Amino acid sequence: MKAITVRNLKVNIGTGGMLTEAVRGADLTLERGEILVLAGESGSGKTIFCKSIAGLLPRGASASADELTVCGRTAIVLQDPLTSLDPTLTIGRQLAEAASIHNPKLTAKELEARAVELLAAVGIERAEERAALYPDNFSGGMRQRVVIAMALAGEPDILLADEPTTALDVTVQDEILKLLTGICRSRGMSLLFVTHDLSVAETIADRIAVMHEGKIIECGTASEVLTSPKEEYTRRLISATRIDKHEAFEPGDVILDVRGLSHTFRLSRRERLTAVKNVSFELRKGEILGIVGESGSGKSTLLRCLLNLYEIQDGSVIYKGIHTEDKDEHRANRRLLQADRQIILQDSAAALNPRMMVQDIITEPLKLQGRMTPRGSYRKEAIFQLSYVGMSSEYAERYPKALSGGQRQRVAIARALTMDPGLLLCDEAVSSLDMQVQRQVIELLRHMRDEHGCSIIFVTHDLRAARMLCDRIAVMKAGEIVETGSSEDVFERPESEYTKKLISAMPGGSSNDQ
Amino acid sequence: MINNKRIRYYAGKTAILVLSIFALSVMVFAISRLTPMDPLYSYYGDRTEKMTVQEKEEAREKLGLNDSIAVQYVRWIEGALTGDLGISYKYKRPVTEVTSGRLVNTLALGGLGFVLIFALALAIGMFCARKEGRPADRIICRMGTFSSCVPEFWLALLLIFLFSVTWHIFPSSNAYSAGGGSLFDRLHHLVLPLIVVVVSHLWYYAYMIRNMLLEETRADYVILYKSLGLTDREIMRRHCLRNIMPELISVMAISVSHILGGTYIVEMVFSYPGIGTLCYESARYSDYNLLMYLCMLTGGIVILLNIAGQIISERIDPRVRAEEAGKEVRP
Repeated sequence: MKAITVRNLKVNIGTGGMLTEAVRGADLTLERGEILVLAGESGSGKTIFCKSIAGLLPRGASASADELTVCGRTAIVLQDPLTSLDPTLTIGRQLAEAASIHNPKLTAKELEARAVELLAAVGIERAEERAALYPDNFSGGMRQRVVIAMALAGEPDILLADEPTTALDVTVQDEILKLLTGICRSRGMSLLFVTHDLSVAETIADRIAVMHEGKIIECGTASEVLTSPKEEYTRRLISATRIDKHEAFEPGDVILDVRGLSHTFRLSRRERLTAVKNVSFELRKGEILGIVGESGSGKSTLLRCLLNLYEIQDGSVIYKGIHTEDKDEHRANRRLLQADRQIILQDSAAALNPRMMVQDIITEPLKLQGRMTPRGSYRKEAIFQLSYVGMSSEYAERYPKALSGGQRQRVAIARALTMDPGLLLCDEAVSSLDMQVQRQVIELLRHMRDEHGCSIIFVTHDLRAARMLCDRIAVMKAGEIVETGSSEDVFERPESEYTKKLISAMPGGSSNDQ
Repeated sequence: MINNKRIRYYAGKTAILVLSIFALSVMVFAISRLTPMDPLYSYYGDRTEKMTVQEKEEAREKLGLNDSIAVQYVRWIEGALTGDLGISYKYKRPVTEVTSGRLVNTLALGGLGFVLIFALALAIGMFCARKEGRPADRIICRMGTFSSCVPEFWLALLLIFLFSVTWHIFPSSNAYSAGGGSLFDRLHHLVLPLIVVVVSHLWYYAYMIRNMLLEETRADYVILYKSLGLTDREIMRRHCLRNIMPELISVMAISVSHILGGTYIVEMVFSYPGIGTLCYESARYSDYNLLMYLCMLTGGIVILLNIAGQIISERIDPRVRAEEAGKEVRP
């Protein structure tokens, strides 16, 4: 029995010169009770494909198909749990509303009971109390549970999930994946799970479909696709998730020495939050240190303290012999520190000025420091740096919005490179990128280190990315470093319970190492 | 339930209100004394020019104008608090008496204008948001841009020319006919000024509401509710509109001063006997007691409504109330 049959689906967005063919003749079937993972990079049309099945195409999109049959009710779970719920209604009221759409005859009392029942079904404890809370009071993972409960309110036969775990931490991702598969198996629901991350597919999928440029290019059982992919593209997607061993780099002298660093935020008159507690570590020249931990563990605060963006309240941060926690010493060496420590941020779209051309963005740090370039003109410098990060000179005169996420991140790296930094700080620099692009950026970072010998601090919640890139790993939990060691030691022989928990939650587990 | 947090909140707001009005009174008084006009004019008008130096000096002494500015200010405030705001030299009556009738006229024009502007702006904003990018939306957007570019005084003159001079449908000036004053008669006189007030502000707010709604519809919960079976219209009414309310109310509070300012200009052109024309006259004839009173009055209305708007927009959010009631917020 088929739940969904799609033959030759085409979706166009926009009209005339602005027309984009998002889906170009895709075929797919979903069996009843099956879990199908639809994988592909961003821009492959997978989200639009998913939305056209649910009948939720955005305005201005037109779809045509030889056949599009959906047997049963559908419900959808979206990527961003922060905006998936109405912020000004209580969880209970939203669930009751969702339930009343499906069962208009229920009384208010019955709806209330149904809401609590749904919350309990998605594994939220003390459901009765929490139904009275607002989405703001819930963490991302819990909100995603509520969204799933909303979807269940309609008693769907088919659940469409569009990257539901991409915005979540690894441990939470693991929980949500288990919840989704558990619910689908126990209720006999079909699940169409859209993701860019093939390693997620490995954990949950019965079958995998690979989407590329608006077409389904390969579809088969999970083991078939993962072990003997037919298409070259699929092979590339799979290899992007694999972690290869790399030779350890011979680190040089200590360039950054952090001792007893703490930072406390003042939340209100009484409440304090110590985001970073007594953190100490050393970083050597040419070393790549990964700082991993879940959101809220203090990684970003630590990074900002290292850059003197936050005041260093306690402890010392000595960079190349400069005590940066000392205000006078910091001021005296300000220009040097600014030039020598560069940062790359997660949201590359927000990190580049949308009104500046790529070549101006790249050379802006030079102009701000009042430096000339060894390559004659700023334009030549920009083109040189672009070619270094693997982009051709034609991009020099484009604006950021004409670039993809990966290209924008490369531009951000090129901008950091113009200063020839001694220390590069990456704050979730690859977290919003597709697996394949992630891999390319990681390789670029490693290449930079090998050529320039600059040290890198790589902050991420993505353990796999850390594993691919870093020589040494520090695991952070609630503001403290709970474990440090070489990348291999931490991943193969984790010591602390917390690290073990993090690693076991990695999608695909440790099977990637074989 | 009243608890400490709430009392502290309202106490804070009241303090801001009192401070703002105090600052306003200082500024109004100081500016009136900074003008080149001799304050004696406020009391004696044109007669001042005929007075001798000796007489002037005596008058100053009698009126306390030789005391320091601070003392004079305190005297003014003392009077104000007991309801004595001085006498309008032009009308030879207490300023409160002069303004009372006109205040009603202005409030009728401004208040009706305010209500109409936001009622229409909401309707147009919601309509355009639902039809975003379609011809209807685009035509209304163009018309709106055009209408908000037309200066108020020009539009007023055009309307007077068409409806009063050419077709004799509506009166061109005043708030009521001589001797008359029935409700219908007053409304009949209000039509043209009201059209000008509404047309000149309407689009600005309609466009703002349209964009606020559109921003809200970008949130994922809209797609989620749609997938559950709610229609666009229901989502817009039950969720999006609700969620832009706090922002909208802040905008409405700020708009009071704009709309009031617009009313003054319209009153001038239509010779509508309101606060606006009175303001202009009192400034022209250096009727300072009256001018100061009018400044305090309109400034006070704007401050009061702004703080009221602030309170409503902050408290309309159920999350704020829930937190105050001491509910558990961290699960």
